Amino acid sequence: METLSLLFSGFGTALQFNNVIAMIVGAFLGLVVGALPGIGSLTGVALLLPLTYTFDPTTAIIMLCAIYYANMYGGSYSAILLNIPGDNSAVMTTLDGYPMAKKGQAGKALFTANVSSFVGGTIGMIILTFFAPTLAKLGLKFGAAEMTSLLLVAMTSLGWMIGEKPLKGLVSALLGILLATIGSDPVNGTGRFYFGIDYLLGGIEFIPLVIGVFGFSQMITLMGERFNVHTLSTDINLSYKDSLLTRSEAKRIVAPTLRSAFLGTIIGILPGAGGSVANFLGYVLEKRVGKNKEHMGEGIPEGVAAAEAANNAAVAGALAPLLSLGIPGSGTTAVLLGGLIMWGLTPGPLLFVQNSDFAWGLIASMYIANIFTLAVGLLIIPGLANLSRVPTRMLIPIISVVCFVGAYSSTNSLYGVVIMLCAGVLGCVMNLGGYPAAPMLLAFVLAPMLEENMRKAFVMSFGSPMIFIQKPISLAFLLLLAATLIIPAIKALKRNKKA
Amino acid sequence: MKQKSLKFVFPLSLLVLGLVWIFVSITDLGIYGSEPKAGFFPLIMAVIMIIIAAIDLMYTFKIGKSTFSYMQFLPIIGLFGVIACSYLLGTIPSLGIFLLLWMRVFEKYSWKVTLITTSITLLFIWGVFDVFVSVNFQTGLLWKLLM
Repeated sequence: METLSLLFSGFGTALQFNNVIAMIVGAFLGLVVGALPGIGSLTGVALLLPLTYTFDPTTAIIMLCAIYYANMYGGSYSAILLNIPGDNSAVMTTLDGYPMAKKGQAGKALFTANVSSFVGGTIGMIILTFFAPTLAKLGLKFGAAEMTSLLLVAMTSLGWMIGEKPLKGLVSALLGILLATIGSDPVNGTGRFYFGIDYLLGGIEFIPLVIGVFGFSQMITLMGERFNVHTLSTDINLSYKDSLLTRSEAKRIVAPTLRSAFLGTIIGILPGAGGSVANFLGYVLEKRVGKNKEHMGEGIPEGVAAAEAANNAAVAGALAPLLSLGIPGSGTTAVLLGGLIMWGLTPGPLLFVQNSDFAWGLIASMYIANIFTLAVGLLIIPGLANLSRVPTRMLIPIISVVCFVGAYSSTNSLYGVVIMLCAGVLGCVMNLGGYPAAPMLLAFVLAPMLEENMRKAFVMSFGSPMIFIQKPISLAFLLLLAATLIIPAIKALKRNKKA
Repeated sequence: MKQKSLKFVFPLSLLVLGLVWIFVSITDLGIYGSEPKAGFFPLIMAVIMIIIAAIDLMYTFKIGKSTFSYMQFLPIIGLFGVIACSYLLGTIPSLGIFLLLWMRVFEKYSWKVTLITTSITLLFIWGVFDVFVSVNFQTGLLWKLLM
C-alpha cells in the first residue's frame, strides 16, 4: 500500500505542466530518433542530453527517459517498413515485421509493434514499481560465472530460432562469434585479428553490420528481381481501420506479449544485457514455445509482438539497478546516470529516501510517457504504412542511400559505410546459401560478454572450471543447458528408432 | 542474365577463416599462461567453426544450385562510387548525384519524378541527419577550395 501511495504522489509530480510537455516532446523525439537507422537509443539520448541543460532536474530526466523509452517504439518502424532496424533492439522485429509489410500488412505490423511495446513496457514498469530494490539485488548476484552460464544457455538457444536448418544456423552463429573477436581483447586490450587495419582495432561496429546484413543485402537481392517483385497495389487500403488487429489476431499476441514482457524485464536488469538481448531472447522464446512457432519468420504478428514487448520491458528493467543501486546496466542508462549526477542526484538506495519526489515522479512519468508514445505511434500508422506502396525500382536507390547515411551516422565516418557494404554482400551470400542471418547477429552481440565473463571466471578461480559448478545460480543454468542439449538429442534418437 | 553458382563459396570461406583464426591465435596471441590469453576464446570457437563448416560443406554437395546475377553488384559499385566521390564533392552532393543518375539513367524515370525524389531524399538527409542530429558528413575538397 505504501508503494501505491508513493506512486500516486509521483503522478502528482509527473502531471505538472512542464513535465507533461517534456514527456510529449521526449516521446516524439524518441520516436523520430529511434526510427532513424544508425542512431540508436544511446546516441539518441546522448545527442539530446544538451537540450535538457536548462531544465529543472526532474523535468530533464523525465524527458530523457521518455526519449529512451520511445526509441524502442521507433526502432521497430524502419525494421517493419524497410527491413532496416532503427536500433539494435529492433533486429528481431525485422524477421516477421518486414514479411508482414510485404504482404500488405504494414499497418497491422506497426499496430502490433505499438501495442505490444506498450503492454510490455507497462508490465516492466509495474514490476519496477513494486520490486525494483529486490530485482536490483538479484541482478548483483550475477557474477562472472553466473553470466557465463547464462550466456551459454542463450547461445544454445540459437538452435531454437534456426528451425529446420540447425547446421546452417550454427555456422552463422559461429561466424558471428569470430567476427566479434576482431578488434581488441576485452580483458587486456591487446589488438587482435585486425590485420594491420587500424580502423578494425575498435572492432566491427554493430549498427553498420546490422544495416548491411538486413537492409542493404535486401537491396542487392531485389536488384536481381526488381521487375518481378510485387509492389502493393493502390487498391489495397492502408487506412487506420485496416491496421487494427482482428479479435483472433489480438488474442494470438496476448501470450507472446506477456511472456516477452516478463523475460524482457529480467534481461533488462542484468548488467550489459539490455534491449537488444531482450529483443533476441523474446523472439527466441516465442519460436520455442509459441503456438504458431512453425510460422515464425513468415510474417505473423506473434513474432513482432514477442520481439517488441521484450525490448520495451527491458528499458524498465534496466532502470531498476540504476535507480536502486546507482549501477547502469547498459550504455544508455550510463548516460542517464551521467545526467542524474550532473543535476546533483545520486542514484542508489538513498535516492528513494532523500529524493523520494524525484524517484517516484520519474517512475510515474514512465507510465504516462508510455501512453503518450502509444498515442503518437498509433496516430502515424496510416502515413507510415503507405510507404510500403513505393515501387521497388524507386525504393532500391532510396533505401541504398538511407543505408549509407545510417551506417555513416553510427561511426561518423566512411568506415561505417565500408562495413555496411561488406556486410550487405555477406548477408546476400548467406541468403543465397540458405544461412539465416539472425543467429550471426545474436552471437555477435553475446560473444564479447561471454568471452569477458568466461575469462574473468577463470582468473577468479585460478584456472579451475569448478567455479561454474560451485556457484548455485551458475549450476542451475548449466543444468538447464544440459537439458536443452540432451532432451532434443534423446527425442531425435527415439524418432529414429521408431522410423 | 549471366549467373554464377555460389554454393561452395560461403562454407569454403568459413573453413579458411577458421584456419586463419587458429593460426593467429596460436602464433600471435597466445592461448593460456597463468590465465586465459587473447587467443583462448577465438581458438576454441575457430576449432568448432572448422568442424561445423566441414560438415556443412559435405551437405552443400547435396543441395541445389544457388545463383547470383552480375546486376546485383550495381548498388555496391554505386555506393563505392559515392564513397570515392565524397572526398571530392562531399557526402550529401555525392548521394544526390547517385540518386539522380540511378533514377534518370538506370531506371529511366522522368525528370520530374527524378528531381522530386532526389530533392525530398536529400532534404530529409540534410535536415534530419546533418542539422538535427549533427552528423559530421564529409564536405569534400571542392567545398574546402571554394571556402
